[in-house]
Amino acid sequence: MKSYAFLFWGYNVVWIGIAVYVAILVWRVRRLDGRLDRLEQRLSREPEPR
Amino acid sequence: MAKRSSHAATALLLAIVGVLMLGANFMVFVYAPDEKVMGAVQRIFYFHVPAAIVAFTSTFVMLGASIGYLWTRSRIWDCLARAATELALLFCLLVLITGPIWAKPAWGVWWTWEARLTTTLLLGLLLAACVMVRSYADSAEQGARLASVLGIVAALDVPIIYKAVDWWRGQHPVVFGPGKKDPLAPEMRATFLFCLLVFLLLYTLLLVLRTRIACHEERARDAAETVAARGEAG
Amino acid sequence: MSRPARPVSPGFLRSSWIVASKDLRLEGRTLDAISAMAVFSLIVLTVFNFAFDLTTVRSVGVSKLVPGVLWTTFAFAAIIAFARSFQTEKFRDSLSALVLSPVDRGALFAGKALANFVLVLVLQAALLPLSAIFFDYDLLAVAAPLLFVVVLHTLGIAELGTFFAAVAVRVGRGEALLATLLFPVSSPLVISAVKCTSAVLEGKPLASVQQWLLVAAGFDVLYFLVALVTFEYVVED
Repeated sequence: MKSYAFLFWGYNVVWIGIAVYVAILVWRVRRLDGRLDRLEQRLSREPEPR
Repeated sequence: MAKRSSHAATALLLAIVGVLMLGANFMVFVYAPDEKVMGAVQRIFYFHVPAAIVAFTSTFVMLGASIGYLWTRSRIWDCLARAATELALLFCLLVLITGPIWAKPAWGVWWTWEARLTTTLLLGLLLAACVMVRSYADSAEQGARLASVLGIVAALDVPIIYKAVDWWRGQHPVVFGPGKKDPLAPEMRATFLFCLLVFLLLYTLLLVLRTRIACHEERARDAAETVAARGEAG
Repeated sequence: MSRPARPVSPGFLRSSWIVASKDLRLEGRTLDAISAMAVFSLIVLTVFNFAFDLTTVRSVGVSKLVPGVLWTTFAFAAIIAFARSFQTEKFRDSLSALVLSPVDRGALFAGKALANFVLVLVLQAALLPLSAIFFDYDLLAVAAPLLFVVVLHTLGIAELGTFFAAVAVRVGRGEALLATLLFPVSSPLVISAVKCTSAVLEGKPLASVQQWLLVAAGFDVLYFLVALVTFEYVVED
């Protein structure tokens, strides 16, 4: 029945949308972690200002 | 090390919510009965309506956070506002996509300019504008300030837009209405409430995560500026 | 003999008036905005006349077609005025000078909004007779109620347009932002404007649309207050 196609896509849109957003959040966290690591390295190398 | 454990906790929470959503899917497709008039397609309602509720709840959160930011100028409010704006936009988009997918088999048309759909469309545009302002602004502080003002203006407008379009048109299937006998069978109502609960849980989790990310990104940016300044001075 | 130690800043109404008359005097000298708006509106009206010729208008009904055409034209032409009202300040950074002066921020907003309101009204005064000629309806018969409807709704559009123009000018690539913000937010006002204009053109009394008139009036008041309160956050540095 063709209305099942609508049902299928109706649900998958929601699942896919949320999954994509979660993936974006994960990517942002990874990028942030990398940045923080690089900052920590730079701070440990630099001498403290007097 | 603290990072790893907080990542693990977050992943666990996401997994739990994911399982709950699978449970919701089960309830929707197996537990809830077919609707008399529209048939199987009506089941989209169980995700479409909670998504709409989340979108408008998030708009409300954005309103509060924007007022909070302008009042206190403390960053946490701005981070919360930013997260709420993004999430409201996401769920708005989900509503705007699932709505026509439901409308076509149910009403025969993809789109109609009735109150709820129109309000959601305009809200989505306004939220997109708020996000645009943040990225176009010269400085983070200016972006935060302008986005907060816009957020307040936009959120206040939403009920007005709804009422205006409602008086002008009206076609949305009213499932819950004042004085109407509740047409939902108890299994349908239970399914709906469960889906709503899961969506709200998902929203809360995403909101907390996104707010934290925003705060950390701000701090990382500040730290980077400090390190760069030290590098130049030293 | 005692004199005030420093100049007393003018009150709200006087400040608004000073800002508004400055903008209007400037416009009066150059006629920049008015001419741009007039030419643009004329072009838009002409395009609409190609889109809906007289036969179509007569068969659908003047009161159904003309209000939408009019208010679309007004809204897009007004954007020109709103954008210019702050762009001219940006050129010589006179906006900062205005903000630094002892003028209440709200008065700054009110003055600019008043000037924009007048400009759009002038445009409409020229456009309405023209539309009556193009679309063949009797303007004089409905002049008084139409004037009321136009003034009431233009006020709200001018308020919002001025406010969003200020936001858009603060932001780097803000030109698109003005229209993106103005049209959704003012949509209840536009709906009301078209409804009321339609009723007026049908010859109905204003009382038949009093619900919409109340919406428009409430909207005007609400957003005036909101803009007054939040304008300082928009222009602060």
